[in-house]
Amino acid sequence: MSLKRVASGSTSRVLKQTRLLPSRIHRYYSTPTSSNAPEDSDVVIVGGGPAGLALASALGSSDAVKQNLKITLVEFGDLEKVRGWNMPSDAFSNRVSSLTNVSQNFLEEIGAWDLVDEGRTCGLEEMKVWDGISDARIDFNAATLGLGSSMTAGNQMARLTENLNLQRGLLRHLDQHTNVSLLDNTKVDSIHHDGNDADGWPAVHLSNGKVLRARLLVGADGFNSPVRSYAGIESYGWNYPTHAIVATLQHAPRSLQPNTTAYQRFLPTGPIAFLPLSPTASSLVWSTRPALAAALKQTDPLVLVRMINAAFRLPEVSLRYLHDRILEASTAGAPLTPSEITDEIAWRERAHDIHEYSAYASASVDPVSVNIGIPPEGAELLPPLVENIQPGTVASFPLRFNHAEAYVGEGRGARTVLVGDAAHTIHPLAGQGLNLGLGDAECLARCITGAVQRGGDIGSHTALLPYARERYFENHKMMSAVDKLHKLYASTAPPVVWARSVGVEVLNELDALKAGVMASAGAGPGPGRGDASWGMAASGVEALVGGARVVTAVRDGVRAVGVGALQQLAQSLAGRSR
Amino acid sequence: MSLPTISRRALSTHFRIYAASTGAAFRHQTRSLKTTPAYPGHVPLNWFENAFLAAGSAFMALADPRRGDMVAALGETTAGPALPRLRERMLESAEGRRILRDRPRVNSSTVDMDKLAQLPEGSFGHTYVTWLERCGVTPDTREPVHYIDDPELAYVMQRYRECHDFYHALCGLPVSVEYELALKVLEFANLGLPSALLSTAAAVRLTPAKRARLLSEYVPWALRCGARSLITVYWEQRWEQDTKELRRELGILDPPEPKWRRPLGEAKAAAAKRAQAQEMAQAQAVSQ
Repeated sequence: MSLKRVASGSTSRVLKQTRLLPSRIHRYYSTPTSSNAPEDSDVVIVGGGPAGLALASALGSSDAVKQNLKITLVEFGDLEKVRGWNMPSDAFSNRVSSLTNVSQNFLEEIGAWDLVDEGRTCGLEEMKVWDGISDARIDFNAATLGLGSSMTAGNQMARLTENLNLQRGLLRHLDQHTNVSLLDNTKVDSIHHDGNDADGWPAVHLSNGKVLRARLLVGADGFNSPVRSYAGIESYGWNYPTHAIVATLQHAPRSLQPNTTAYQRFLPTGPIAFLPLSPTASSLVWSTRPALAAALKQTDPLVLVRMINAAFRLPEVSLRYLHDRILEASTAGAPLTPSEITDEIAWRERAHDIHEYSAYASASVDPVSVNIGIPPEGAELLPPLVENIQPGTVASFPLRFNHAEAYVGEGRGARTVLVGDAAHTIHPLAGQGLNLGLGDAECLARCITGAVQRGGDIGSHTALLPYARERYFENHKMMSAVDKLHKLYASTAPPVVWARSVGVEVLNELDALKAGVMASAGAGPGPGRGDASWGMAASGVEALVGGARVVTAVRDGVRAVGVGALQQLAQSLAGRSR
Repeated sequence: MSLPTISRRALSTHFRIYAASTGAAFRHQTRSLKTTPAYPGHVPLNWFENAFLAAGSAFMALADPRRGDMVAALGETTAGPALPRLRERMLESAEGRRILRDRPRVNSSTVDMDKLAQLPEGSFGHTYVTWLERCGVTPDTREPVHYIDDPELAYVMQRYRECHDFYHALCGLPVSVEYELALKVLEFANLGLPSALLSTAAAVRLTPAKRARLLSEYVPWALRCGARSLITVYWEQRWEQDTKELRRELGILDPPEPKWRRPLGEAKAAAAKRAQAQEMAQAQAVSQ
């Protein structure tokens, strides 16, 4: 292949020098035809999102790959904007993801994490999740569960990072350390199968007239992936009847604890999550019905602030009432004003006997004055009272579940592979979407490196099979677990509510099981702490033995009481008969 | 954490969910049973006490229907999910919301009888006062709510109890057992409270003739009435409205002609007590 490339390049150079071929300027006015000499590239990554950039970074930092493969990344948008992204230290972008410890280890290994601005990220130490109807809680604490990477200071379950911060770090890594060629502001016009036989390479026709032939075409291009449609891979999925509202919230610093706790309340309309970013700023992800999301986006930001505070505090029946009022007002063309919504929320608080000194009061108190000093009892169970929304950060997007039928193309779509959102889309309630994409990137990079080291063809089906085998089931497990969780908490039927509340409360007591759940979600310890599984087994045995000990004590006690009672009875009978 | 803690917490969830469905879940108490009263007169019950009281009050209400407290207790212990549904109905209607905000009570100190008597003939206020005199009852005899945990639902129950007389006046039915039962059927069809249905078991106390009349004439009438939920009607703002028009608005048809008895002694006894209290106060003022 390389011989062919040199030949065509030198021929065209000679022809250009003798002016028998039109010069470059004339070329701009010609439409791209198949007579354009296609450029060969070993790996073409379509899509410059976090998954695509992470894959490019990983490949670019591997020595085996660097020496043997030519990598090109094609991105529709302007990467210069990402490179030059800069925000003041108290303002945060509204698209925030929680990077699990596993993802963070991956980024550290490829050397990209050092270029991410860690001062803008926030380690997540605790997570408090509760049911919107029954208030059954489950709390995860990184310190007590023994989670946390060995390379980070202190315990953390995840790191909350702005997506742009991560992308900028990855771009910096690509620019400084690797020789991956980046083509930004370039759209993929079409992808054709080059050649008539099954061994033909995919040829990517770009909007700047170039044609790239790829030994391996990686689709990291999101939900509507052209690579996936070229590969002929079907995907199954559905749209959730929910849209997610995101915003950056501003509040006073917490007085008795650092702002490192994430809160999530499962309402029947969808979960509302509060993710800490800094002592005074946090991110909101609120999945709710599309009509409500649209109505809330259009209202005054103060109305949204009041609704966010109420959504974490009021009983579900009052929230339903407030939602109905908001929808009614917005369909009538007169959206509620902040004073109207404050009045309604204050009335509902009075109706539920929530007095103004309770942690559950939001409209009947002034957040500016209540956030100073000792917080009311139970305030640590709730997020801090939001005071403002950073201007311009309210946005919403639809949510869907989608999984490609295969990750590796076959037949006419051979030499293609999918990573990230092109392969799977998940509900954001567990914060796993980006992490699954990074996991894909890590696994694919390992597969490609392995193939290169063994001298194999990186685009062949046998080289890519280990990637599909490793990632498909893992992703599917996580996605269906999150989907079932979402559907479980969308129900309001009393038996379902009772069952899930009892289950959650029992799970809350079993630390070993909670640690296992967190570890499987990627919050496990880093490579240095491999004995965590034995630690979990030990605490599991402790719980069982402790329970067994209590049962024995109770049995002995009952026996003693029974025997004592029988003795007394015998004595009294004997005494009476005497 | 040991296993007994797990099972105790798991059992307590049941109470918490029940309390949560009535909206009182935010009080994160460390005790698994809620025993502090939520409003004056509140008597918190656990599930066994609730069931026991329901059975006992059902028996006593059937044995002696004039035990108003037993009928009230039956209503409260068997309300179940009907009260949250009524509250939602009230929240959905603008008039119902006004009632929930103002929380008006109906007794002789909040309802000005003299003013109502001066309203024109045929208005609802006048009809109500006339009906009170004709039956010889006062609006003071309603037992307060004791056994509902959520304060707002307790108010809804209280409102339902206090509006019962308004239904009597609107339909023009006296207070004898057969007309009470007819109204109970109307209430069950309109509001869905289980105790209204259970009260119809008192039909065994009627003579066969009266029971036949009830079943053949009054029950069909009651089931045909009332498309609009009566709990959302703010009666105190409708004193001046014409009774016939009000009936038409609420979908109440004219009942079969009732037989009026002589008035009960309640109103007379209450008036006598008031007069006595006034005399004693005057005597004390004079002696000082």
